[in-house]
Amino acid sequence: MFQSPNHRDSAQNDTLKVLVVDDEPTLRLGFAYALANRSMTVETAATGRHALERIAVVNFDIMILDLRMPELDGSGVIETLRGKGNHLPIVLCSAAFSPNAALRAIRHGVVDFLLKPVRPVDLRQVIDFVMSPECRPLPLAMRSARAGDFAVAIQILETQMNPSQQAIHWLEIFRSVRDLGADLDSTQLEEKVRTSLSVLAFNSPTN
Amino acid sequence: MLRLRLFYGLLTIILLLWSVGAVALLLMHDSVSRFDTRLRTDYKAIDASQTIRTLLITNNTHYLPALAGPPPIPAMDRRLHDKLIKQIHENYEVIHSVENSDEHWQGVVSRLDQALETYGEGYETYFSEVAVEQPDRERLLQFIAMQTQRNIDLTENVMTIGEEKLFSGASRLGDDSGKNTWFVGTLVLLGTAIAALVYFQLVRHLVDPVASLQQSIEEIRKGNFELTMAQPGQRTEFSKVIAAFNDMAAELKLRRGVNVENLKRANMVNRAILEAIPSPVFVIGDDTGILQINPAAEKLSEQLGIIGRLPLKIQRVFDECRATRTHFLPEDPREALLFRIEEEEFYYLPRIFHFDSEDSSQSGWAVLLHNVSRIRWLDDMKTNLLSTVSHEIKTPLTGIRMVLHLLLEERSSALDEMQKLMVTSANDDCERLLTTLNILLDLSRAESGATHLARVPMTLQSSVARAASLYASAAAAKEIKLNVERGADDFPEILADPIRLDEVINNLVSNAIKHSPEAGSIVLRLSKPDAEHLRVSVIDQGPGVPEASQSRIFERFYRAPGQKQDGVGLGLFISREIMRAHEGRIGLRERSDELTEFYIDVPIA
Repeated sequence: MFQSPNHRDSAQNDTLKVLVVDDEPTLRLGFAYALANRSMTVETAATGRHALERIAVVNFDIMILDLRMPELDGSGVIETLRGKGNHLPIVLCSAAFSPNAALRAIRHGVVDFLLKPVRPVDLRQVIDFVMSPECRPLPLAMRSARAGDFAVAIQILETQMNPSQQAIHWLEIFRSVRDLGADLDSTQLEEKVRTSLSVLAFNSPTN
Repeated sequence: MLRLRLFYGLLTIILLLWSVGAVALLLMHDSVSRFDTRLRTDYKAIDASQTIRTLLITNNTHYLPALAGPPPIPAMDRRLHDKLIKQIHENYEVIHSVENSDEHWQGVVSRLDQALETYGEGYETYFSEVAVEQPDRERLLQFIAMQTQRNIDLTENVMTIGEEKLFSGASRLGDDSGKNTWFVGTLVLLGTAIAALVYFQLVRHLVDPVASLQQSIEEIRKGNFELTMAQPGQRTEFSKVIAAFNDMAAELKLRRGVNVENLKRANMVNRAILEAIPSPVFVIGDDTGILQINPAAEKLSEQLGIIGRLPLKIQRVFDECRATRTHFLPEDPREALLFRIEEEEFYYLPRIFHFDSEDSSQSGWAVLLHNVSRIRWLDDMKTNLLSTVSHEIKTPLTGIRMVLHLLLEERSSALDEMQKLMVTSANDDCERLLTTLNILLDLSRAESGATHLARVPMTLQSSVARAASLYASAAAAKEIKLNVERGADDFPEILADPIRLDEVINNLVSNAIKHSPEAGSIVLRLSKPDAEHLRVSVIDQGPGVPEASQSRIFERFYRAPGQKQDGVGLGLFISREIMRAHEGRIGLRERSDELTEFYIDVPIA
């Protein structure tokens, strides 16, 4: 089963190992600077390929991954990684998500999206949200989804009282992904993802 | 004048009839009276002769037996004899009085006279009683007998001649009547000839013009307006008719000339219009095939290798239109159909419309293929450009923004006042730039997204309820009451894309909250304005839309002047696009009772 972030080998070190993958040097610099503190060590990679190389060597706790990159893009990195059975938590970051890319990511347990431009505070919050989820329905449901357990995620969200806009959309999408099964080619689901994209992102303006 | 001619013609015939009748009557009367006269005279002679014979025989029968008997001779009374002789003479006078110049007749009559004289002498001897002896008596008897015989013979002659005369008179009468027949016959022939003459005259003056008029009308019916009828020489009633007819023919000719001229001009205008249209145009009859195509359509048909029919893809759309008798007037270039011509891709947007002639007697279809290849290309370019821009600008901007934020966090070292001011200003610029970019993205989404609807049957109530719950907290923040008036419970379902429809209602509610005064109230009202639509009205107590702006609020980027609220003026534009895609309506009601009412009408499923 998936590794739980709470039971990591590197947990003993008390520092999180973060990999930032972005082809923009300024962003790499900024992300690294924003995250670097006593509890986190940040490594950066400029390309998807370089990222995969580093992951093979270092045991990271979380990866901030840019979607649009030359050569191997974010989707490619996710698929290669999941193909190898690596279930490293990933935060996907982009200026614009295409429904198709978002759907592919969700199906691989990548449910944390950061919409560029990203404020340093968003970055820190999303890492907290992923690594140490609060005991509220949405963070817990997202944790289950990250582990690929959509059924549990749906269950958690369904029992929630007064769900937020974001929770409603996630519930819809988890249901659709569950009902869709292996059939990848669903334009209707893409349509649904597209209309909810602005709400799905962690730093969505509506939240 | 024709009437006079007719009258004279018939008068002649009538006069002729009368005269023939009169002549025939006269002739008949004449011959009857002549026959009567002749019969009377001739028969009188015959009658008299017969009487004479009878009288002679009566006389002899009475007296002669005494002569033949043995003596002595009885004395005979001669009174009877005298009476008979007197009668005989009277009868003779009758015969004698008959006017007849015939010699034979004269001879017979004079001989009869002598014979009667002699006969009388014989009886004078008888009564004188001289012959008492037997031989004398025999001689006397013989004598009287002989005279009697002679008289009888003569009266026989008279009778014969009388009969002959009677017969000859009859035959003369026959001759006369033959002449009369001939005369009457001649008159009848003459009458017939005159009647024939009148007939031919009438035919010439009455029937011929009518027949030729009919023929001419037939010709005009066939469309030969060139024809004019010959004007008859005399002034008759027909000359007026023919003049009127010729006028009519001339008028028709003129009118047709004008019509043909108009037709030619209309045709020319049509051709000019069709040829001036760069898009291929096919004009199709209702039941027939293609009526007319323009040069662009000819060229396209040639390039596609089809002649005399629509391209197959278009035909399918057209058949559907024809079956439902509806126009097909898409506006979105995305609905264009792809054609491959010489390795190149062309997008044609078919616009199909049905048209009727003014009197609805004729109808047909026009198929216009709007070449939207370039629009499609530009559209794709725009999408690509927007996407490129959003990435290429947003990405470095993201980096810049991140750095500015980090600097403002002052984590490593504190900024002095001036530095902080400058970095804040740069950060504001950065935010503004990002806002602009987001607007551009929204706009592209509005223009592309509204046409891709996932329409499902749904209730409008559910959409309104979602909006009300979504904005409950925002309304509460301004102490605004959000009232939902659900109207009737049995509103039918609508066919809509719930997400896009929610977007519209959310937008209206959000606007209402923005413009409502503190502690005001907003009403979300459901109603059914007509048979085909359901309506959601969003009514607020805000200041309303300025008169001058009302017509423009649905335009893109339009913001009513003097608005303090944030926004870029795309919300109503996007809402309108979405409603348009739903074949619905969005609008602003005239302000009344200090209330502002925006509404949307959604077609019932």
